[in-house]
Amino acid sequence: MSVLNYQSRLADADAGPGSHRSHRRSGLAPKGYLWILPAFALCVGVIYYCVGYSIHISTLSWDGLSSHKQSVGLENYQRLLTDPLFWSALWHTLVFFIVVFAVQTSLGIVFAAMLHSKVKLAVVYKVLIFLPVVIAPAIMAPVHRNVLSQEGAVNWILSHLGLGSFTRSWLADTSTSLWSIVAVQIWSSVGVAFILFFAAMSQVDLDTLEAARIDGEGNIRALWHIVIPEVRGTIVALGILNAMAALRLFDFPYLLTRGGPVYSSEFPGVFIYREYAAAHAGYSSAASVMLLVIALLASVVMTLRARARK
Amino acid sequence: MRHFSKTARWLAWATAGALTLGLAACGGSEDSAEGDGVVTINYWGFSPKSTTADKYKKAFEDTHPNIKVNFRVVEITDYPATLRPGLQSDDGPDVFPLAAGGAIAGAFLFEDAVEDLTPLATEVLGADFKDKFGGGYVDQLTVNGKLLASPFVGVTAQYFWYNKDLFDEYGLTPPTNYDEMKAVCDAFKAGGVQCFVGGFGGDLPFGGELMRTIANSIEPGYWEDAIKGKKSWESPVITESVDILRKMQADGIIAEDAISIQQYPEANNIFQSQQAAMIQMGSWYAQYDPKDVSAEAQEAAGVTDPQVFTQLTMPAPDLSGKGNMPATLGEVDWGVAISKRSQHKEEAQEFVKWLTMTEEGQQFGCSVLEGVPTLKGVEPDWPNLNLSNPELQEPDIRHIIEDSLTTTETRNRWIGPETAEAILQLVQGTLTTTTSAAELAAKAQQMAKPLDGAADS
Repeated sequence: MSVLNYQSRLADADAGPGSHRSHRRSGLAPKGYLWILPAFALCVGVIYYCVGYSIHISTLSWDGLSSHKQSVGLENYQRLLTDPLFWSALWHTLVFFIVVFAVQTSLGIVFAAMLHSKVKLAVVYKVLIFLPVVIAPAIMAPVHRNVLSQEGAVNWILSHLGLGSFTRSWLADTSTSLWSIVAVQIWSSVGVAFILFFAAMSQVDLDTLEAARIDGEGNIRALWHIVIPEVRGTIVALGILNAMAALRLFDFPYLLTRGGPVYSSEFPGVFIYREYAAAHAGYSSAASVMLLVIALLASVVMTLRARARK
Repeated sequence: MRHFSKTARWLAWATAGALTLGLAACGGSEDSAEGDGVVTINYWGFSPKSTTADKYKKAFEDTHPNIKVNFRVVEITDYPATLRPGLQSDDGPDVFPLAAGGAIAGAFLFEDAVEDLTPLATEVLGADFKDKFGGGYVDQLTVNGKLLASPFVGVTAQYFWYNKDLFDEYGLTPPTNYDEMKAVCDAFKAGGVQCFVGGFGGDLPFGGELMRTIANSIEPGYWEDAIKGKKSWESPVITESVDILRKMQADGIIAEDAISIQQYPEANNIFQSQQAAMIQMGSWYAQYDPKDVSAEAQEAAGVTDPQVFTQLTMPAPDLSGKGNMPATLGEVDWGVAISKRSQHKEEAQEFVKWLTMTEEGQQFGCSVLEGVPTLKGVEPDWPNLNLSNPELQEPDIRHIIEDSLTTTETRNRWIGPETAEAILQLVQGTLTTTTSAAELAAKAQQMAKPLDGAADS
């Protein structure tokens, strides 16, 4: 029974005999509003108030502290649209999203498929794959900085593989800093994709798989033609989650590179934080609002596309 | 008229009550006055570090039993973003440090949020209180006629600190120019020791400090004039500085990945664990001179068996070879401000008074060697400093204090957020790209924004 139906019936019961028809016509009974009041008040009072306040600040020239607030209308937005740094941060977000999503999905499906077969010590592998998800970025950041440094483990491995010419300081190089953050994000989040796909694959019809086997399909073809179409919903969900994560990404870029060197790993989250810390609260808020609009558009587009495919 | 059921009415009242309570909890501050008349004030700051803060707390509370100080140490790069919302909240700090300038804690950035301390200083030190403090420190913390923070410690910068034990072990003497620096670095490198460590990553200005050292060896004072907008960043002085910094990187004097580490904690850890022989720091670095602090720092850097070693200052070398030894920079490092929203202004004033305007507080501050004293006539408690090598380090600290009285060039006083970012990008562009020096200088000129009044100073 849905929540709305349940509330409607409760309302009918409270109103007494004879009221059933009128309340059914009006949909949600007046008393139903009272039941949703706590959540409604919380949402409007806290979340949307903050959004509204951010929109208000975005129209000001303000340092975020003083009593001197000058209204500048849409000037902050105009400036933002011509700020190459903001566009560069958005471009990095797009690249980050595409690569992380593609690799995370591929690895998640492969790991989940492998662990659905009879693998020895499967529990150990599951723990190993999922463990990075639960480690806080702040704890791992110094380790990543060390691993990716000139004297770090990555360069040590490359040197011992005879690939010494590829060694570099991965976070201090403008051509590799962004990719380093992408790699770290994949490392830390592939466990989520794995868990989602592992659960989704549990729902795949075994008879269909069995029939495919009888028809001579190999593992890869079965995975491609049967399993992946069955977990498409999970892929879409993961896509939306990744898009949101990319848009509000802050921790790894801030902790590893602070968006540098020379803004080569700049992301909107770091951009907004830096502008706020530099006493540009209005400009920083305009960037936040812009990001919110982009996030809403992205989620609408992805949801509509997912529905259209159904 | 619609009639609501008892359940629904109860729910509505409960919701309203819960929201009221919740909002009250969000908006109100924790009552910091305890039943026995003891008042707690909150101190948020990037300095002192947590171990030293405990010493401050004890020293103050011992003489002020009715006031407790709750120290909250904030990472320096997160300070502005933490402090701004804090100062708009009733749960924010009562007292907090502000610096003479810079993008992180420059007093001018917080003008509207703090009390004018002129009346307090006048009451405690007299109308001529400015003269009681040294080095122009009061002026550096005064904006539009208001004393925004009371000077606590001064800073002298541009020193190179070196590990004397390592230099002695390799039979080396502190370098005075580029060639000597290169020779020293080659000798250390042959022995597996890093010569000079710099952490130029993050938002801290240490890469800019080294570049300023280079620029000041080319033309003394040019860098400060560029900061003030009196001279252009698009200049042969800046482009030559870019070239020299790149040469230092190519020659292995500074590490190829200096941008990927930060001065704190990484570079500091490397120096304190004796893996590097030199580091560029200011007067505050004398805080690691005492044996116990040095041992703590080494343990924090991963050394399991800390060894006492002697760290000393040396003048920054003439890196351009033009015969100009870069002079030290100096200003008030930080002072203590009182929030306008403080609910305990009287107690906050008592704390500021003790720390910055009494000999006792000042001597305490300079005895933990966080910087030079700002109140004239105050000296560290020399017999109780517990230095690793008193014979050499005490004269070294005395020399730093003398320097603080003679410096003519400010360090961060005239650097605002835009100029700080311009310098940061100039250094990063120098060390991580092949962009021409001229283009980098032009970009710095485009990004920098002198503070109001800088050009007239």
